[in-house]
Amino acid sequence: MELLWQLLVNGVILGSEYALLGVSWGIIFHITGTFHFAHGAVFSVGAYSAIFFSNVLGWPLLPAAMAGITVAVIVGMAMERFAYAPMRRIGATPMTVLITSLGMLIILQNVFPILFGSASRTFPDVNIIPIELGSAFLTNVLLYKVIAAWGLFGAVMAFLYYTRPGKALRAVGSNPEMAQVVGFNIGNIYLLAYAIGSALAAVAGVLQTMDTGASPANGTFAVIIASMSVLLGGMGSLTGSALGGFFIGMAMSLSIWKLPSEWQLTVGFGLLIILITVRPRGFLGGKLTKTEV
Amino acid sequence: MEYIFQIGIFVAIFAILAGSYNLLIGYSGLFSLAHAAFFGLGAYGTALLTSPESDLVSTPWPIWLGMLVAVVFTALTGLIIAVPALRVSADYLVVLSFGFQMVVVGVFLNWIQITKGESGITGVQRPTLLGMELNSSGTFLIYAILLTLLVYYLLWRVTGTPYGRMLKAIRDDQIAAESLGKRVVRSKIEIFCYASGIAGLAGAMFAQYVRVVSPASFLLDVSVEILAMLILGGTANILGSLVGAAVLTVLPELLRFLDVGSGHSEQVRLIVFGALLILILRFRPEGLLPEYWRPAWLRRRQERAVADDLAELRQGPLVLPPEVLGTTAKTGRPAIMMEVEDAVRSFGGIRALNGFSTTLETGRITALIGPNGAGKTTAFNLITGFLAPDSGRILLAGLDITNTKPHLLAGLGVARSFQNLRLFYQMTVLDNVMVGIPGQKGERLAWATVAMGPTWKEERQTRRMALQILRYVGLEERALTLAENLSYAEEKLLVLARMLAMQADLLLLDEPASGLDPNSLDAMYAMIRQLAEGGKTICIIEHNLDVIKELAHKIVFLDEGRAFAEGSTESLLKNPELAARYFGNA
Repeated sequence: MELLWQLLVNGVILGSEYALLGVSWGIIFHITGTFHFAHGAVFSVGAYSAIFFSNVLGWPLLPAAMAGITVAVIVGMAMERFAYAPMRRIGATPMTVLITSLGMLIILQNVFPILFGSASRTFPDVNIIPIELGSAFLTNVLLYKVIAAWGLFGAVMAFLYYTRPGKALRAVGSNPEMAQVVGFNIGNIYLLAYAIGSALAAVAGVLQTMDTGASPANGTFAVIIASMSVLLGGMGSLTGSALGGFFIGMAMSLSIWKLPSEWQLTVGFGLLIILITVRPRGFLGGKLTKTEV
Repeated sequence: MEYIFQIGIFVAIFAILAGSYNLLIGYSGLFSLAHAAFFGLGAYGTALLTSPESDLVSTPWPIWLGMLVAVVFTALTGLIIAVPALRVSADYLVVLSFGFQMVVVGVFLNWIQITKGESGITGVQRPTLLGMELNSSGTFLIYAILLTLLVYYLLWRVTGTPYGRMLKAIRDDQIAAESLGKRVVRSKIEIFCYASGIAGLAGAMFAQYVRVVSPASFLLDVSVEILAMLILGGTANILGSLVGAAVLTVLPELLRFLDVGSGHSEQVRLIVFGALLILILRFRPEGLLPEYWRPAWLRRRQERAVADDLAELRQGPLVLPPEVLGTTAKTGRPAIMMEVEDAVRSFGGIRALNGFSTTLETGRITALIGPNGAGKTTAFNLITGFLAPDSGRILLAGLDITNTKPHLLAGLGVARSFQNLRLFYQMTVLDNVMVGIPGQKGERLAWATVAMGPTWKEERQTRRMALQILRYVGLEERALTLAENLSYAEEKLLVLARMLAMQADLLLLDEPASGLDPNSLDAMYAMIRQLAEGGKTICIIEHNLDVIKELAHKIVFLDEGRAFAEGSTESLLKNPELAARYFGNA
């Protein structure tokens, strides 16, 4: 039973981490419709930039993390502004945009090992404090993950529902043509979506670096988890993306109860396949209708 | 020499991979990120079944049998992601294939009892070819070339036949393909498994050549490399994949001689591949060999065949082929082709149709009119199976067709057009019409692959029929033009031609006359009248009163989701209440 309790606690932590990833990718996907693979690279840019500011320039952890997140936001927005937006203007197919995104992911994910080495890197001065929760153990960093995930999710939802720019984002997400007619600047709103999504991804990247360290392949894994979470949560629902991520994380953690940990991803993926078969529109997705005839 | 043979073998392996990937990305518009995983499944399958060092089988299987089983197994594995994803949308396939790629490599790494983890399986046997041992790279190259030829033959049978044309139609516009009676989901799943199986065959060959399979050979990066080859070569052009694979296999080898010695050669290679992908898509998205590129002699042969057919057709009168008259022309037409009884359909809280009833009489032109939002398009979608009614019945020639899927209705003789036309814009005018002709045996994968002679024979008849229809609507000179290069009036004519090709009894035309200049308008009127006289049942949605006066025998006036008034054109147009409601000149 003690193992189960520990796994549940771990599940909440992993689930929160994945929920954050799901929301970070979901806000971009739901609003712009772009299959943003390069999001995985943005995740890594956040982590490695923070490492650069901390380890190379010797900044304290918090300012280094903030600077890292800022760099990631700039990179994410630059991808939209200089890669996706020009392609949309010339009427590129979604497949072309998707392949471009994949190209950017591959390029950046191979730049990091050249710059930072293939081994896992972490910050020099993370102060890890163990915390006891009944018979389960966790650390302060893991607690930050949970707090950051749900705090940021709440902040994003509040932003989307209670502020003018947030409402504009939702309007564009649900009906871009109409929003354009009403006078929204689609380009700027898309940029905003990339800024928010990139910031959230970078937070996840920095927190992961504090916990287990950054390595080059983490970004690709992050975007896989993020897109799986969004699919499971349902198209068009950000709350769904968070729940989808939480569910996958929890399921992967609980699978350790009976299976070796290497099979976590297989279990998560298997569950996704089963759930998508039973409920194609995901947890909270709107009714799947055929493309308007 | 050994080194050059080795490069040749890798060109062959990648040519097979790029060609099969092209089936998905170029021909079917399906984006999968798991091609390397299927490559790996074929390799591991072959190794596990035929290597003496395998822990899966106690005695190794005969090599050819092991290979065959591995390939079939790989193809069937494709079902795991294709079925759940493609039932819903191609977006789902992107995510599921991405996850599948990771899971498969995870299984290779972690199922240590069987796959031996990171070090992989060694001692894979090479087959013998006609008694020849394939011990050297030179002899193996012969085997590799033979397999590549076999695969490219199969790819050609898939893409250069009615089957490939159907795939492209589904790629260009899934809804239009459905309205033509194509089985969209089934075809997508089928081609996904087929392409996966071919990737598995490349894996089998790879395993036999390097004699050891380990997870590192089948990572996501490999899919990216194959993708770069196929994009460079040109999407939806099989020869392009061959060229792309050759260029991108040979070029890095040449660059190896000027190695910068950074110690990061693998990373640099992938950065170059990634950059290449982006640059090609930016500056030459069609690749080296564009979709409709083919060697000059082949192109000339096709042009000549079309010209010959047309010359022969021009000898005869300007009529439609007899098949186009429709199925009931032979069996005797019912007096009433379609009845809608009390159809109700709501969207959210809004009742788009609220007890709509009407009849469409055979050989008559019925106009569906009414204000915006009256439910005209909903009525069309209901009749053609794109929407199911909440309640009510729909009868086609007395047969209850409520809740029948669009592709089945197409087979029963219902043809429709769309307000936004939905042509297959990346296909030629001729292909747009040919794909509409029902009952082509060559649209079945197995038939197109095996029955070469009969497929060509059928294809000649199909082409002739399509050209005759094109001549009827006056587009025969544009037969080999891409649909995207037509003028709007020509597009409208092509829409009609594609519907005629379906040999349907009931034609549902959504604003056939809008946007036409006076000349084309007269031609369109004449054709629609002639079709009705020939026995077709026609229903049009129209806003333009002139068109209605010219064409319609009967008007059904829709308002608030029901037939508010119904009657002959003359009587209805004199009705003052109607005039007030619709034209606002009370």
